[in-house]
Amino acid sequence: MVDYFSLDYFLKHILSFAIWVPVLSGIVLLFTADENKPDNTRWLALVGGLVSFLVTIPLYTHFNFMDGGFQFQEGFSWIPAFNINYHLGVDGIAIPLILLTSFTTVIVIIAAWEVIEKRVAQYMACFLIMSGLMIGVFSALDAILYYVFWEAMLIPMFLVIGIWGGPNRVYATIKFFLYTLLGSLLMLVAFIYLYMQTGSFEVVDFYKYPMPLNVQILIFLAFFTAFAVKIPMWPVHTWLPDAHVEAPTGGSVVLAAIALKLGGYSFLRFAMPIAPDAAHHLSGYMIALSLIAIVYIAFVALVQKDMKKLIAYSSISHMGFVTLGFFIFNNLGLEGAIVQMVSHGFISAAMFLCVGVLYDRVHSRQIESYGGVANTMPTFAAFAVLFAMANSGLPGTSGFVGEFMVILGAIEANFWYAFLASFTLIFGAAYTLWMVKRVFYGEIANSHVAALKDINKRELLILGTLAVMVLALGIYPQPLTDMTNATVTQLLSQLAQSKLPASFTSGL
Amino acid sequence: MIKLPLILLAIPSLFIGYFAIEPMLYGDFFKGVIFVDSAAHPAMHELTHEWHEVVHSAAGMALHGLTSLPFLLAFAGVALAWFFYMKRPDIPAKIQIKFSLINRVLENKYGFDSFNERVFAAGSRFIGNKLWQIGDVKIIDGTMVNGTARLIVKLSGVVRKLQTGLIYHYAFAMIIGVFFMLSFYSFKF
Repeated sequence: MVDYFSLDYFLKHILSFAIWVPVLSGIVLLFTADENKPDNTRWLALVGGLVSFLVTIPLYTHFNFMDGGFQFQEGFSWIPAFNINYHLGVDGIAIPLILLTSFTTVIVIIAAWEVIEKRVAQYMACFLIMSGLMIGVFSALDAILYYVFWEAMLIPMFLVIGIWGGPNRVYATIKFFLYTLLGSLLMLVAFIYLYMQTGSFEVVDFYKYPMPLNVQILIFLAFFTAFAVKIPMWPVHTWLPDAHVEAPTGGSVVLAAIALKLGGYSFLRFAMPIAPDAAHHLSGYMIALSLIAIVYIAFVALVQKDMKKLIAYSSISHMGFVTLGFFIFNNLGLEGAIVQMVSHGFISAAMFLCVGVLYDRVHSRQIESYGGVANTMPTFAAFAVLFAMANSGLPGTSGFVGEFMVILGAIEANFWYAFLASFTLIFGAAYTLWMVKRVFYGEIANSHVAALKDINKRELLILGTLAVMVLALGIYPQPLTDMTNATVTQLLSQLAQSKLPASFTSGL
Repeated sequence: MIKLPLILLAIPSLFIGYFAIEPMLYGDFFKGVIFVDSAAHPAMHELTHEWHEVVHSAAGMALHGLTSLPFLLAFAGVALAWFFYMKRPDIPAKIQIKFSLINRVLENKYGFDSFNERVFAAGSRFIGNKLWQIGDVKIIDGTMVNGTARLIVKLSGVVRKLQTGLIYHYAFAMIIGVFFMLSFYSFKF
């Protein structure tokens, strides 16, 4: 007899809880919500979000820090005819991102409290369901299960931008959807090829399957199209600024904080370990694309007039750091890239929430609509400046840790990589602080700014929480690096082993 | 406003310096914690030597400081400034007229600020605008993304013409197709 209420049962199925608690609370919300009593809906959503966050916490407290492999594994046969399993498991790279996801969802729910007035239940449900699906992406160990979560996650995001978005939302949603779908289909082809060869959709079986270099390159490129769009890497990045500009604040927060990390994570979970020789072979191109993203996008960010677009471009530039860290193939670079992903999750979420705070009051995202906001909103200005500093990588904030580690790793690989990468520190400071100067400092620009009221308790709560996270991770990143350490070491040794077959035959 | 905190900071600085300088810099306070290689970095050794031979104590060092050249030069600067700007402001005014070129260069901080603004700041904005408007908007979005959409529209415009709605066109196309498939089948195998 299984005791469904025991801690043991919970820990054995913790990943299922992490995925399905938010999804189910979203569904419950959809069916029980009363459009006339939005406050009840909000509280119910908050409870759902908090419970979903709480069930992910044991992933940290019960994690075995010495083990670099998959933990908390569970599963059963899902579609036996094709050998497809419901197989979940996480390692030290996935867990920080899962915690980030469930944490961000709570923030988004609180951030939407008074802002979203129509279709409250649907809005909250979208985010809860999306949270579960994204945790599914981070914990799936079966390619098809992963693919289902990966694609399903697009639907709530599509709805969030398409329903609660800005005036040009239809263009942005279609662009976002087509861009990501196009890449994902090639990934599905790669999965099916690997299944035909190995007879299994298990990720671990894919890891073991040796392939000649030309096959590996094709597999890698198929994965690359899917993940590069999601990260996004230059030149497939243009959907992101459009999507961010049109998305409501919550949509932007999830998009920047988590959705981009799905791409980064998937490089580490699929593309690189499945085709390690191709990853090494093509690393020059990957590094070139990353450096172009860092430098080119930083220039573009500098001249943006829309605050959300500026932060969107800054995100692309920062994600260039992540891919750079991946493809220099050393411990510092890889670990730095993971720290950068988590840190960017907090910082970009906070930056978009700051823009949301201003947008809710003035209904403009243009930098030129503001000026002297610090005079009327001093508390808010203090937070915004802190997050801007973090975005430009000031030591003591989380933004510094990841960038510093990646630059150190890049120096080990090649001095010029590090030289170009450190551009982002200069330009990051330039575009972020220039925006802060134009929005927050100087004389009060117009009557809208003069009439601004400082942040309320709800906004103080979310910005304060994020500020604590940004500083905590900046001052003491060790809990995070301890978690990733064993996995990164194992991954690097896995990447160092060639998977070329013994008798070197090329061909599909 | 700012005076009081500065005074409050100055008082403990004085005391801490007075009591801590000997054990911290020349004594055993950091023994075993900080190791100075006298051969590679002789400065600390020299200073310790001077402390024991010349100044002897914190008060001695303060006195020594007041009689040494750097202090006298700094004091001379203060005195000169007082003379020029408080006593005889007509002298610097004359100098300003006489050496107007040097004055202008110095007042513009050698032109570095305006150079940075015009070259680095404006140049970065120029490059940024070009990369955005030409790279992102025209090439990536215009040609690649929307260009693909336009290509599909064009292609379907051509393919649409095949859809004539006349049965015998379709039948004829099918016959040709069957002919090719059969000939392919019979020659290949």
